[in-house]
Amino acid sequence: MAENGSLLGSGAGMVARNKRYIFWFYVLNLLLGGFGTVAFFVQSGTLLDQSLYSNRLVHGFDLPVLFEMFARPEFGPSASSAMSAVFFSAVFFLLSALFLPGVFQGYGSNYRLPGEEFSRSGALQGYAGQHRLPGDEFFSSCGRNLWRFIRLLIVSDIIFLIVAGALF
Amino acid sequence: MKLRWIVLFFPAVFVAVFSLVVMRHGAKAAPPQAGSTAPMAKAAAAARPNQVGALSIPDTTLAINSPTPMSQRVVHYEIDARYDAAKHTVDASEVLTYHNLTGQPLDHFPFHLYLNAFQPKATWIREAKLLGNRDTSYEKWEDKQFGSEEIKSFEVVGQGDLTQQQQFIQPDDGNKDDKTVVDVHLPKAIAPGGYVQFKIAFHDQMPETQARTGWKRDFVLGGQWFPKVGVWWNGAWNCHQFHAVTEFFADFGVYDVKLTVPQYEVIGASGVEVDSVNNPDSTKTLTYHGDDIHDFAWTISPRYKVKDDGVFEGQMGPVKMRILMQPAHWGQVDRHEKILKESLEYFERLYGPYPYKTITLVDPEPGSAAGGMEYPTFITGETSWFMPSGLHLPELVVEHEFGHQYWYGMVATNEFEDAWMDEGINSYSEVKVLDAILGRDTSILNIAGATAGERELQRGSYIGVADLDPIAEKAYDYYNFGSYGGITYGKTASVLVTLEGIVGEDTMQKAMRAYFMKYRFTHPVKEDFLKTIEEVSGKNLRWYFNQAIYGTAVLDYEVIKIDSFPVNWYEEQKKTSTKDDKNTVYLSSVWLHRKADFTMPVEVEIKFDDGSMVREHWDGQSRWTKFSYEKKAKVESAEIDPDQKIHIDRNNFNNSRTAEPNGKPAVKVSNYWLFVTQWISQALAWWAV
Repeated sequence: MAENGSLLGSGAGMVARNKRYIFWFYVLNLLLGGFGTVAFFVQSGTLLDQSLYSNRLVHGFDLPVLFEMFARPEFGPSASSAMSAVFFSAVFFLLSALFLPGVFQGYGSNYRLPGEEFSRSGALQGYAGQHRLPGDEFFSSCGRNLWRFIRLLIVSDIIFLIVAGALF
Repeated sequence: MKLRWIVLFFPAVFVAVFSLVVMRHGAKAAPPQAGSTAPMAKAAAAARPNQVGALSIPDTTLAINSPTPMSQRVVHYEIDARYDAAKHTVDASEVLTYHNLTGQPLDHFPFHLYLNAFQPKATWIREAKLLGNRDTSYEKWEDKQFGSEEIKSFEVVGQGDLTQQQQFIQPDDGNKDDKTVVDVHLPKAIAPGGYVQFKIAFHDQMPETQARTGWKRDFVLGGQWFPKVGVWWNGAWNCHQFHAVTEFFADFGVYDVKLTVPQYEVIGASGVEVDSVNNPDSTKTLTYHGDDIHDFAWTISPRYKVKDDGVFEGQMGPVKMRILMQPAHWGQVDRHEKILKESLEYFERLYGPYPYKTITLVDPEPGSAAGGMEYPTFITGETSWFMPSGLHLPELVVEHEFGHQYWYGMVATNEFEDAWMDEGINSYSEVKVLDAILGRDTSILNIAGATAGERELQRGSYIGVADLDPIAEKAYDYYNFGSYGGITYGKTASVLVTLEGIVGEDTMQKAMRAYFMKYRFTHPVKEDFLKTIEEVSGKNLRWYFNQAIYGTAVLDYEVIKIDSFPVNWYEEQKKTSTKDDKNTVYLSSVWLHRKADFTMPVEVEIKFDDGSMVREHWDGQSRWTKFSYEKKAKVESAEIDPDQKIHIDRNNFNNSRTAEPNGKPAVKVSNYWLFVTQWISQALAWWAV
């Protein structure tokens, strides 16, 4: 990575180089998300499918109707429908951390933990790596990744808001 | 003793005649303007008509757009207070003149000392820990949360120093550690029609803001800060302890309050400012006067930005709007002024005139737990630095708190015992006014297609606690804070919106106006309100009030089943074609079910697949009923309360049923759910890599 280049440019280059990863992880994410949403879909369907009241969610988006749905005992505790989504988020997070190169890889290079090949990110790349990361390189990598993450988060938030605005 | 009466008598007669002349002039004057306050101060100080002996309650009208007093004035508070900004303390002298209109001799007087609630063993804190609280959980006690209100000396004019006669009483729960009510016995009873004057010196330690009073950084909200006498009501003193969910109750009268604060402070208070003097010690003393009010609050902060050039032309005269904003929220000042003015307009139109010459709106310190509070002619709003125009939370708070000028300020119900009559009736008014200003389904939120209306949110706050408490419950007897909020605000608003459907919107509006005009400046009780609605509507509504106001019955009507099949079903089996025959006659049935214990007549609208429609009426008394039809069409859907007049149904989803399922709503919300959860996990993954 060019130290003096723009971080966004570097990030874009990284995206281009890893587009296969990104694509497949997006697909995986979507798949897991779908699984996580099935319970929600079934539970909401029991309340919404045969009620005219639920039309207020189709024509516009009347939030009190949504809140009332969450509050109904037939829908079940919100936590139960959220649990599957939380579970899939955790699985996706661990998979990403395990198989993609990044900060955790450097962490693993300096601090040995039991079974570290499975507990640190970038395990695959770690296997293929030719050298261990020195401490200073690790911390500078942390810094670069931190700022990259923040920028990516901002960009993703903007995209999220645009998409959310269109959806709602 | 005799000499003093003679000495006082002649000046008093002079003052009375002089002040009558001045007050007639003052009542017609324009709202007070900066720089013109000193003459008003003199006029206020001079007013002492209607004297009996040396004591009286002034009949001043400086602060109202009326030539005569509007309330039966029982009290006159004259307070001279000095605030110490470093210690967050108030040292003050209070002269309270009380007019005994009870019709019987009074030999003891209870006083509220509200600030003593903020002590670890006080009832207020105990209840807040046990039952919940609006602002603070009190997981850990911090010294800055401590508040106190100590009477240093207590003299009854003509009866001597009674400081040692103070006795803390706990009429509600017997908690001996609660010092929020003090009772003082007098050696000589005050005769009916007589006056008594108390001279009290007191010291306040203000807490960091709790229950909308106290300090936060350099901001102060002075609410419930002075010894306040109880109310003689229904043949006894009514002076409750301060509870975690209760508010207040007091008699109408006149307030003359001097506040001495550092010169750098910007100040706002109840009533009208009549004088302002800079003192040599870098402090300033502002004098405020209030007529026909029953409480007095003030606020200071060096950082307030002030907008006070707005005037509302009310039905009784001009009303000066004074708005104190946090600098970070200054961009929203027009938004605040607009909703304040619109609230004034709608309340005057719906209920009656706003008679006071001022209304002060305060935007309190962020994080101060001082937002959303009402005092006479003085309210606090609530906002934040980021407040999209489609999110109407500031409008909601300002409108609600302004509404309390009517329901609490003028119609001064007992907030300890009938909280629903101020909070609930005000929440109903909130629904009506915000519907009119911001739209029925968009009065809370209207952003990018997502909407929320006030009436649905009120109902939403109720249905979660529907069977816990009746509306007609003392505020401190509710199951917990959630039930108090859901029932007092949400259920009352929903019950009254539903009542509107029973008696008609116009009739309900007439009844509300009649109630306000009849009971303003009094202390009405439940039946005053309920009987007014019955009188105006000409209907016996006991069946409804007994369930909705006095009971805990829950309403839940359901379309339990709809079904259609050919009358000649056995013939239909022989047909080879699966196509629907337009000549086929179906037997269609709709079953309605009363799932809960609240009974009420309901309408049901039944639609058929040929486009036809029928409306049925069900008295709702039996547990279920069935409507059947033989026609050349199948039933398509059935809907209870198609005009949406009932707002107390616990479950709106089961109020209707379609023959065929429609998966669109579930698909839509599920897509949103998928989008949000996937985005969260993707963001987590980005962080990981």
